[in-house]
Amino acid sequence: MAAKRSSGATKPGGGHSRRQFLKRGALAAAGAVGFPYIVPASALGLDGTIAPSNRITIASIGVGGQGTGNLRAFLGQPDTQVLAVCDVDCNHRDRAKQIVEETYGAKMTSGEYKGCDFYTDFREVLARPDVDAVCITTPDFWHAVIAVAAAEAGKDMYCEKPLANSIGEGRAVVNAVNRYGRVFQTGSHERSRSNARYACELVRNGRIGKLHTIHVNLPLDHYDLNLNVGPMPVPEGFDYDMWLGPRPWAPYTELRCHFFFRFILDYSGGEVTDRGAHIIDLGQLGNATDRTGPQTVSGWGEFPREGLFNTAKKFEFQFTYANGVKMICKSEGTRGVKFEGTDGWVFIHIHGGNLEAEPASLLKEIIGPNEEHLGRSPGHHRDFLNNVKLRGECFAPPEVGHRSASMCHLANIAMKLGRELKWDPDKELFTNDSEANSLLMPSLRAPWHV
Amino acid sequence: MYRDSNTKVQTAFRRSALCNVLAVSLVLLAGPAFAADPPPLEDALKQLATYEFGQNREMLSVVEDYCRLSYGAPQTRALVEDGLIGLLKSDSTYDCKDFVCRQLCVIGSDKSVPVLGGMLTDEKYSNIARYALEGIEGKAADKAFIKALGKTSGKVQIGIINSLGARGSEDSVRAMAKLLDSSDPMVAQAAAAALGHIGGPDAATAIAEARANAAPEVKQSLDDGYLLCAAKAASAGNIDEAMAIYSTLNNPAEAKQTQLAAIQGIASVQGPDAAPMLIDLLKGDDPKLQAIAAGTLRKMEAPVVFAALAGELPNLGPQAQMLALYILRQHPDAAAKDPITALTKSDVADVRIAAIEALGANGDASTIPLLAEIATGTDAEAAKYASSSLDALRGDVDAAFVELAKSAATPIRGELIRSLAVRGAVSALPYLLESAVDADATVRTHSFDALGALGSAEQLPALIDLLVKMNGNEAQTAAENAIVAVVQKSDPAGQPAAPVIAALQGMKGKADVRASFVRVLGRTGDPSALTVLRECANAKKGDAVKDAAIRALADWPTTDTLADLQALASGAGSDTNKALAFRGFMRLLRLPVERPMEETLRLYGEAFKMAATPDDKRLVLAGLAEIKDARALALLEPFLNDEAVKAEAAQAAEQIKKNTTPQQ
Repeated sequence: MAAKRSSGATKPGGGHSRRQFLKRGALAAAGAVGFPYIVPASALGLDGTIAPSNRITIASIGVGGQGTGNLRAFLGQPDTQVLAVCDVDCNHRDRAKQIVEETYGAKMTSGEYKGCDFYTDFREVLARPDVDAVCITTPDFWHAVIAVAAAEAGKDMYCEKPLANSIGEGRAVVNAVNRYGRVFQTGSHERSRSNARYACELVRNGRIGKLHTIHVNLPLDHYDLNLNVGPMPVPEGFDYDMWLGPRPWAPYTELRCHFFFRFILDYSGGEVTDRGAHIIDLGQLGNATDRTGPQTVSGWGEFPREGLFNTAKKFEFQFTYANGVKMICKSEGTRGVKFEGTDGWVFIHIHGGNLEAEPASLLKEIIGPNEEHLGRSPGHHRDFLNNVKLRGECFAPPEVGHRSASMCHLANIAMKLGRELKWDPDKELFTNDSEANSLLMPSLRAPWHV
Repeated sequence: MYRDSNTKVQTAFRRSALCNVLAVSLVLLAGPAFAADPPPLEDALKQLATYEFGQNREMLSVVEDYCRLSYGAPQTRALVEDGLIGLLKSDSTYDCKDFVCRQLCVIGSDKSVPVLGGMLTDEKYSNIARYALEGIEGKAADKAFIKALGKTSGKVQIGIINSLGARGSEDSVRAMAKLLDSSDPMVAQAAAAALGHIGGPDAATAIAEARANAAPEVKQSLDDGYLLCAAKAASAGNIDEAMAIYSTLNNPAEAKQTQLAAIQGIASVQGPDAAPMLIDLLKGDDPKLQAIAAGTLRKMEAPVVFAALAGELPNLGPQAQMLALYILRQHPDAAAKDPITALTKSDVADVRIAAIEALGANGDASTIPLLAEIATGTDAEAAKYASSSLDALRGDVDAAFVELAKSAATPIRGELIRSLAVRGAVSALPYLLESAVDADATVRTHSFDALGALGSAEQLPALIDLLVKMNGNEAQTAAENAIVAVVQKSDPAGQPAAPVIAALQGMKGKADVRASFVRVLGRTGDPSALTVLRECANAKKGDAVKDAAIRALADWPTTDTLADLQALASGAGSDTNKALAFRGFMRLLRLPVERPMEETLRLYGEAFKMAATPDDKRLVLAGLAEIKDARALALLEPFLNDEAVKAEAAQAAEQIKKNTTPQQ
């Protein structure tokens, strides 16, 4: 059943002015993390849980399908308090508010909780000094604008993958997070799986011999991506102009938004950036190149020539790295990544993390304390919260998230242009094609910028 | 579609005699990418002029092909650009112009600038014109933006400001500076951000002056612009300029996040020299300053910083100690061991735990007794972290583990042996073979676990001897596990189970021990063991060895024992053994293997013959229900009237029909 629908006229945020974001500089000055890691006994509630005043306060920006998943993950953490939700779709927003209030209400003696504010404009969320961190689960093309603004407002961030919708926007996020000393977790949670980390340790410690090839399998789900649709009236309660945000204006049609945005190049990069941001990310981790990038990229893609959707339906592309390793990505095969070395191989299945290897005994190898260890994550969301407290680096820091997303964008650019491109990962520029460089950073619709 | 056609198409394009006329056509460029008769460029552009969202996009794709394939062919490229410019000048639709601007972003030259510049001031077209112009290199595009800057206001002007910022247009600084005190705060915010992106002394000066009297809603943007100027100055080597800005902003009167960013900026410029300042902040009582200090110290690489931090550990408050211990966990330093060790006795529980964790990275052989003691102590939380730290201790310390284990009390000995396994300490194998017969059962079990994890074929003879000794002992299962683990990780080509087979064949009497060997062989899955397992399973004498062998065949990982199990289930053995064999047969029959369907159906027919009880029949029917072949229905037909199983037979029939119905 649909959640209680608040009309577009309902003032969000329990009375917060829509223009209040203009004051964010003054307001946010009082914000940012300042809670103690050590919780004094006096701060504990009767049941031993951490009192609200000592919890990390979070607001969720973007609460559709994945956003709700992230929201529930944070609601399940004892030292976290979700203060607000934000979405341009009032259905998503109201449902998320209801989830928060039902979850916390179940823990109250009264059985009721009414403390979750709701917003349509993320700038109002960032203006709140009592919000320590934000969870950004908007469509890809919004990530960078919100993340840069959140960094300026002194917020820590959990931001979904791919980190940004272009290489230029991704670099802006990294720079802003570094400039303000924020803690940032990219939502590429597959790298938090112990099996994936172990497999990458096998590779990095030479258990498969010398690594020479990384195979990335990115089979597409079977969606009908050949639909030809026309303009439709914008539904009540959906702030479509805000949804479009930094992207060029385009007429509303239902399939443009929400889940299917990922198959339109203005908003995302198709399977290449969607699951590619997970699987290529693991390839980067195993190759120890997750803070840099390849030297060349080439490939072909079959892009739909009609209909609403225009991301590649079939593709094959490859990268070469300075260390001589090749990464070959195809839209077929069992979803996952295979590292091939001179003495064997190991395959990581995505969404589950099961491993295969040849020889099979590789999976019984012990990585000793004097070898390279990649650590074990307590869970992607928990890792973020721990690092918010300790001011450490998460398992998917912005540089890593940016470099993995960059690989996906490089592939799409090379496939769109249909020629081999040479890439300088230090300067983040193509060295043999100035036209390709014009695709590194799209112009953002006013007033948005990064 | 670009596949296969690219090289062929590009080559054809460049060679085409027609490529210098507007009538150039993709029709020459035969390939799977194109329809049979793609239009010439002129026609494609004409059709594009009326394009609106929702119409067929094919013509857009054709024009995109022209743009892409004219790369490296200047004359053709010029024609394509001219055609696109013509569309912008015409009364073509908005959607057409939007598409054209996306192409000009990539292929546009100075030629496109005038028409695009004209669109900048038009509210309807400004954003898409910016889209194209931002991608066009050179001063001409900058000039167009600057020219439009003074003619616009509101969102349109903000867009132009953003574009100039994104392009890093130094020529726009003077004009931009004037906008810092705009009555529209969003314009002023955008100008501050753009000046930050452009950087340089002039931009910094403009921002500094504007900060003096800034409206509250613009202040944060100015601060950010100022911070950007500092970062740009620092990366250009203008350290004094950067430090001047950072020092100004490192002021408690500034917005907190600005001050925190400034502190970090100072550290990025000064490097290790900033460590004393950061450590002083850690000693303070402002949690936000402590946090930024800790985050900044963690990013440093110089060992001298961490030695200094370690030296200050006793002088920090608990909160700062937590942060410092975390840093030292990431950046171990020899000087940190003693102060961290001292903190394992802190009054604050969280600090104690953090110190124990940090010892894993900073400790050495001398740390082992303390960690082992905590790991076996009564504080479960501390014990967990101490165990992890033992496992993580770096350096050549495995011998110290062994030496301590030899003399330590049993709980500590067991813990050290557990850790040796996790550490992959193969040098400890001789000791582990000794400790496997320890008087303490837990130590024995840990030892066998470690031998399984660390041992190789070289240790198999000794392990086999130990298994004989463990007969009847509570560590017998652990000993069996160790042998199985060693065999399974050995090269199958070397028939790694051979020593176990030899031991089994060479042993007389001692049925329990031989049964133990049989169990081991069954679990290894080594094909070379099958012969001896079959002999044992078919032995006339029914004893523990025969039982173990039938179980081994029933649990075999491949269908290689299917025929053995059929024979055993149909033979003259005990009911228990027949039941074991039958269930093993059914398990293997349901394994996914490549086998002709006729053979599978035949085996199911045999299974029904072997099924002695209604439960047996249900098992066969459950397997049959998975078959995707209508011939299976005939097999279950007799059971549709069998009172005991007719319901299950009907269910199976239904499922087979579903399995064989074509999907819509």
